[in-house]
Parts: sequence; structure tokens; C-alpha cells
Amino acid sequence: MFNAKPTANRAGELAADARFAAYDEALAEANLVSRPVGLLDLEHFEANAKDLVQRATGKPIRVASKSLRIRRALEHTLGKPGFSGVLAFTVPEAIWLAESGIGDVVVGYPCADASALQALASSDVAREAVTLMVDDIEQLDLLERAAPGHPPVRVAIDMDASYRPVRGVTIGAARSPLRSAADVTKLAVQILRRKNLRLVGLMAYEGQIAGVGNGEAGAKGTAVRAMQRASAADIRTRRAEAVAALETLVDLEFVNGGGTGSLESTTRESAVTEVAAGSGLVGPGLFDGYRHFRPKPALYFGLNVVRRPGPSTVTVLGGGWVASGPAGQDRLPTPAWPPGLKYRGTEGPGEVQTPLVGDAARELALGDTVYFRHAKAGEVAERLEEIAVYSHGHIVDSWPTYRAEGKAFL
Amino acid sequence: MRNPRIPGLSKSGTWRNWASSAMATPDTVAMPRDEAEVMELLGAANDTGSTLKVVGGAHSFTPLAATSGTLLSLDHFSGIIRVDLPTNQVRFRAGTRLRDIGRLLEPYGLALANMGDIDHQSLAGAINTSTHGTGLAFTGFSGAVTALRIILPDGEARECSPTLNPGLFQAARVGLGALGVLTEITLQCVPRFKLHAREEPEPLAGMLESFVDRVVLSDHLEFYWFPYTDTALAKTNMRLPDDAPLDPVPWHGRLISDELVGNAAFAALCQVGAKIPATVPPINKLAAKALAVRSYTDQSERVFVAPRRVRFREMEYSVELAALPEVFAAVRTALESHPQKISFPLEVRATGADDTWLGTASGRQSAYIAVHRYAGEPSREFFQAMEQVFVHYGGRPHWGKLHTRDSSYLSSVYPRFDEFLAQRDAADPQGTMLNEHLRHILGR
Ligand SMILES: Cc1cc2nc3c(=O)[nH]c(=O)nc-3n(C[C@H](O)[C@H](O)[C@H](O)COP(=O)(O)OP(=O)(O)OC[C@H]3O[C@@H](n4cnc5c(N)ncnc54)[C@H](O)[C@@H]3O)c2cc1C
Repeated sequence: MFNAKPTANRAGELAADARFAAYDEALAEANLVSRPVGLLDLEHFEANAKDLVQRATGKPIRVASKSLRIRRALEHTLGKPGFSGVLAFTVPEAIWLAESGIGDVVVGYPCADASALQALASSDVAREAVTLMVDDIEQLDLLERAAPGHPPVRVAIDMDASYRPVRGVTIGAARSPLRSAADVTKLAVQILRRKNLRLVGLMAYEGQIAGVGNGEAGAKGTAVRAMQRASAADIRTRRAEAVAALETLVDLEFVNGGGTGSLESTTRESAVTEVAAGSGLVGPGLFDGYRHFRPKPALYFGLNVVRRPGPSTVTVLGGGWVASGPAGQDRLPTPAWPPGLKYRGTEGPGEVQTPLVGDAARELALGDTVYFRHAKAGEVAERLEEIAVYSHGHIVDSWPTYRAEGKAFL
Repeated sequence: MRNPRIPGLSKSGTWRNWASSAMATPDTVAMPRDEAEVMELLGAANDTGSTLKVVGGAHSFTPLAATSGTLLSLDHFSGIIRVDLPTNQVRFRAGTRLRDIGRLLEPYGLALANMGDIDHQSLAGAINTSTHGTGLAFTGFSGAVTALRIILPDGEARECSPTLNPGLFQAARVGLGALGVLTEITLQCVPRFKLHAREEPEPLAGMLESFVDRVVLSDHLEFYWFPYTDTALAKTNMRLPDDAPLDPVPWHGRLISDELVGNAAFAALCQVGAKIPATVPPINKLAAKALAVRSYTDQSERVFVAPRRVRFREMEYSVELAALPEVFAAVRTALESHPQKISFPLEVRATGADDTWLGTASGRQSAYIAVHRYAGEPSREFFQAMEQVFVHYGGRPHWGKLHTRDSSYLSSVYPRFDEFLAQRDAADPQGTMLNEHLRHILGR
């Protein structure tokens, strides 16, 4: 298995060597000579998809669009067995996806944008396909105000899945204020008392398991794994209680949980009907840090070497495509090829230029391509218009990003 | 087999109710987890000619739940199964304890329309004995039942409602535990509300004169009377919307329904009274005088219910509401001329008529008079004297409280008694659900 970490063995390196040479050749063959360039390795993408489906053990995977932000990639994935529906990140995005033919789009986050809510309420196609996420009565009021007397709209409830081992300590994302089955039930009653809302689902995202690497050696890794085990037991109980409570009121269409890093524990919960995943398809840098699975890197961006500040330093044009989250080293793109390149200690990847140091820099000529992997989600698609799709030695397709389609949702 | 924690069952395997007025030694005890287990146990009892009883909270004073055969507790059958928001009807598991219902209904914004004095009972136990509170616009629990699910001794489950197995439904709404095992009960609930309670001593004469009118005007009116005094303590609960501000009872201020009637201070008085009967009238006069006006506002289930920590025995009869002043006067005369001195206050309540077959308010607006004896005192003769009065007025005994009525009397006060028997016999031809007490009251 290819691995961009410096620990890669020699055989791996040779295989990787050949692979990047093949990328270079394929791009040249397709006359894709401009940099930056985005490249999606479809073989790795497919292998990742297969691995996710295996890890989900029979529960359908809802594709998290924020990790891709490429419509063709979403459609390609939804065409495979084991995947069903999209977990979108904004309402305008969901409407657009629905109107472009995706029949099941759950918006994973609440919306307070009156015009977006109004647009949803007035689109027959979208109302049929899109499910709004709510966790507060005020959100219901916002919808009613934006589209008074609107036709029936599908909604799902977001429940907090963070882990609180002791009073005052919260591990995980601050999302929904609804923590207990009773909290969830109270909102469900408010939804059901409104004639034109249809409660169809429940979601709870255990980010502290799904999105926190647990592969570190030593005390820290042990602690993270112990926290994740305890948190999995906690959310298992709470999700089951919430589902049991909601089932006193409605027959839910779906109960969504988890993400790429938590498929194993989430899918084992009998209350869960589907899991979510996105990053696992492309295997960005932050997903190198898990013990129980290792996606293959499937999405790269290539930058041109444009300058040589010193014998073992080159500078590429671009590179500062930093991921969201608490700002830190781990949010930076990973230089992937040639191996051994590092950022300068005093200077990270810049908005226009990025110096890289290391032995490999000596061998690079101006105009050569350095390949990077982004750290987290949709960073590449936010910067590029097209992604070259590589398969078996050739560029077989080119997929426009959301950006290329004129969609800057967030 | 280790004994599961069945209400009233001791380690040695003897079962006793709350008041220790009923006892039995079941040969098998079980706390089933699902209907399949219930069906199996009931089928086995039926096939071997044994008997099976379910105990709820063991709070009936009568030996309704006593058995030498199989004793089941449905304590694992607790919680809400379904809530129908348009109608506010809630399907519960039948073993749900009343004390859990407030918390269970709270997220739905719902509540029970009315409750009795305590909340230890199970839902199935409450409806099987026609348990009630007070309030003329309300019925007892059974009147609020809109559907139920019962497992019959043949091992089959039946869904029952006014349209589905209607005869069995009517019989099982107040079924005395004599038809089968209830596993689910649908109740008509109401939006959550608060209650403003006012407790106030007043002259007994005025209370008796005005009770029939006042019970119409107040949402929930009841009164206590301390024997040998001329004072009644009225408790009037008025319903307020759920957003009414709270004004709960301060801790130290718990009075008539808790400290005096129910608990430690009162027990002390009773003990003195039990030992030196001559002290009872003066003690009661003191108690009645000590009562002060008090009012408070709280969530409905906290106002309806008060703790009862003192053990007592109780007899309660329902009579025609209009006859209350007359019946009460007769009860008073009989009580005050009885040789035993009675320390425990009488409780008087009322409910609207309902359409159940064996409900104590079936077909008639009813007043209830309850008499009690402290657990340490002999009660048989006193209750006998009281029962004579009640029977004279065509009273109907509370099924869960002490009485000595048999089937011939009961069929004279319940127009649909024979229909009930027909349903019962069809549901349980072998008498698997019967015990000695039921054979006596049902003539089977
Ligand atoms: C302190 C105290 C206060 C009380 N206050 C009031 C009051 O305010 N108002 C009032 O009306 N009554 C009152 N009662 C009486 C009481 O409500 C009834 O006796 C009631 O039946 C007790 O409920 P339980 O769950 O304890 O039932 P149990 O006594 O355990 O059982 C009652 C009957 O129901 C049957 N049963 C129970 N569960 C099932 C089932 N699942 N399927 C079939 N049959 C079943 C039993 O076999 C038995 O026949 C009071 C009693 C006490 C001790």
C-alpha cells in the first residue's frame, strides 16, 4: 500500500515513484500542463469507497459533500452499491443538488438564511428531496417567517453527540443543544404540532471518534482510544434512547451517525440506520493518523517549482491551502512528492509561494511539479476549477468543482 | 431461582400487600421482560390448572392480587409506547408506575387529567380497581382508557377498544385482574397544567351543605373530617395553564395531606390514640384546630399526590353524589356511636359518571367516603359498622379497598355485572385468573 509518510519502505517508495511518474506522464499526455493542477486517483478513490462500504458492514453510507465539493464525484460515488444520499452543508447547495437530480439530500447543519429557506419551500423538487436539520424551536419559527404557510418540508433533528465524562468537560464539537432523549422529544413535539413539517430523521455526529486520529503511539494514543471507547458506549446509549423516544411519535426514515473515523462503532449501533462519510473517499492528510483504517491518498494538487532560493530549497507557486479547525501544523497541506520535502521552520505554505527544503529539492528543476495532499475536506475544490481524473495510466475525465460551477456555498 | 424484586414479596417467598391486609405464598414468581414470556407463563398456568395473578404496586387493601400459583410483576413493562399528538392519547406499557408518568409525559407537554392521593400504583393496577381522584368534570383512570392490550389465558393477545373486541374492552377497563394480563394501556391525556391548591379549615356543616354545588364549581374539591370535631379541611385545586408561575409548598409547611394524614407526626398521634382511646377526641380537636389556611401552585402531579408514610387500612364506598349529605350524616352518627375511637380523618371526594361497566362511578355522578384505621388498630368491627351504612345507601365498594361484598350484592349495584361475568368467563373459562377473593366477589 502506498504511503506518503517518511516511514514508507523502499518497495513502497518505488511503487510510489512509478505512480507519480505515471501521474506526470498522464497529465502531459492530456496536455494538462498548467499548474496548479488537481488530480484524483480514481483507483485509490474506488479502493477507499470499497473499504468504507466494508467498514460500514451493511449500513448505507451517506456521502458528506463538504469533503468533496465536486458534483461528479458525489454522483460517481452514489452510483456504487453501499452509498445512498448526500449529507450537504448548506441549504442552497442542497437545493442545487436536488435540482440536478440527487433525490436524497440531508442538510447536516441548521439554516437561518430566509431567502434559502424561502427557496426551499417554493421548490417542489427540493421539498421532496431535501431534509432540513434543526435543533431549536427558533429555527422552526425562522422557516415559518421566511415562507409563511409553506407546503410540507422535511426536517431532521440534530442531537449533541459530544462526550462529557465529568461535569464541565466536553469532548467533541459544540453542536446541538439537545442532549437527552427528553430534549429531542420536546423539539419533536414542536415539529409535529406544526402541520407543514415532516419529521423524518435524527442525526448525531460523534466528531470526537469520527474525526480524531487515534493512531499515535504512547500515552496520548492510548488516552485517545480509551476516550473513544467510552464515548462510543455513551453515544450508543443516548442515541438508542433518543430513537426510542422519537419512535413514540413518528416512524423515522433514518438515523444518521458517525463519520469516516467512526464507522466501526457507529454501524454496530442497532438504532443507527445509516452512517456518513466523505473524507475517507479521498484520504486527506488528517486521515493518516488512525489505527484501525488507512485510506489511500486519492486527491492531490500539483504546484510548479518556480525558484531556487538555495541549493536544498525550492519555492513552489501557491500552497497555502490551509484546512479549517484550530489553526496548527496539522491543518497544512502535506508535501507528498517527491518524498522528504518540508516547509521551512520559520515559513509555512504561503498564499502565493511556498519554500520547501530537503534533499529532494536538489533534484528539482524549475517547472517541475511538487504534489501535495490537503489536510481535511474540500480545500482543493475551493481553489481549483477542475480535477483531472486519473486511472490506469491516463487522465480519463475531468470533473468540475463546485467553484467551477459557480457555486461558492461556504 | 433468586426471587426477582416483586412488590410485596419477601426473601422467604411470602407475598404481602402494602397494608399487610393480604398475604399469600406463590409457588412461582416471575418478572417477564416481554409479551412472549407473559404468554408462556400464562399458558403454562392455564395448561396445568394452576392460577396466575399480576401484582402492580401491591397497594390494594383487598387480596385481589393474592395467589398460591404464579405471581407476576410487570415492572419491566414501563414507559411510553406511542403518543398521538392530534388526540393527546398515549399508549403506555401496563406496568408503568404512576409516579413515573409525570416525568415520562413532560417532554410531550402532556399530563394525566386527574390523579388520586398517591402515585405508587401501576397503571394496570389503577385501572383494574377503578382508582380515582376527585373532580366532577373528570373520571377515574378507567374512564380515560381508550384502548388496551390484554393477554388471555389461552396465550393470545387481544387488542381492545370501543370498536375492537368492544365487550372485552369494556370488561377489561375495570377488570379486577380477572380476565387476563394487561400489557398496554392507552390513556386520554391532556396538555400539561398547573394546579393552584388551597387548603382551608371550615365548619363541617357548611361544607356538607354546599359540597354538591361546590364540587361543580371547583375543578378538584375534597375534604377531610377529623372525627368528633365540627371542622372540615377543604382542599380545592384549581387548574391553571402551564405557564402560570410556580409557588410551591415550602418544605417545612407540608400539612394535612402529608404530615397530618400521612406521616410521622400523625403516626405519633395515632399511637397515643391507639393506646389511650379516650385521648382521641381531644387529639382530633387539637389537630383540626392546628390546621391553617394554605395555598400553593405547582405542576399538577405534584399537587395531586402526597406522600403516605403511615400504614393504614381503608374502606371506601361510592354513593350517588346527591346523597352525600345524608350518607355522611349517617356515617358520622354510626362512627361517633361506635365504641372504638377513630383517630384517622375521613376523606370525601367526587367524580363524574363514566361508561365503564364496573367502575365505581359507572353511570352515576359519585361521591366517595373513605374511612381508615391506623395499621396498629383493630379495624374489622369498625369497618363492619361503616359498611352497613354504605350498603344501606346502595354504595359501591372501591375494588382495591376493604369490603365484604359478594356477587349478589354487587350485581344489585352494578347494572352490567352479568355482562362483565359473561366476558370474564369467555376470556378465562378455566378460572386461571381467579383467586379466593375473586371467587367470592364474582360468585365463581
Ligand atoms: C396509601 C394508599 C393510597 C391510595 N389512594 C387511593 C386514591 O387516592 N384513590 C383510589 O381510587 N385508590 C387509592 N388507593 C387504592 C389503590 O389505588 C388501588 O388499590 C390500586 O389498585 C393499587 O394499584 P397497584 O398497582 O398497587 O395494584 P395491585 O394492588 O398490585 O393490583 C390491583 C389489581 O390489579 C391487578 N393487576 C395489576 N397489574 C395487572 C396487569 N398488568 N394485568 C392484569 N391485572 C393486573 C391485580 O392482579 C389486582 O387484581 C390507595 C391505596 C393505598 C395503599
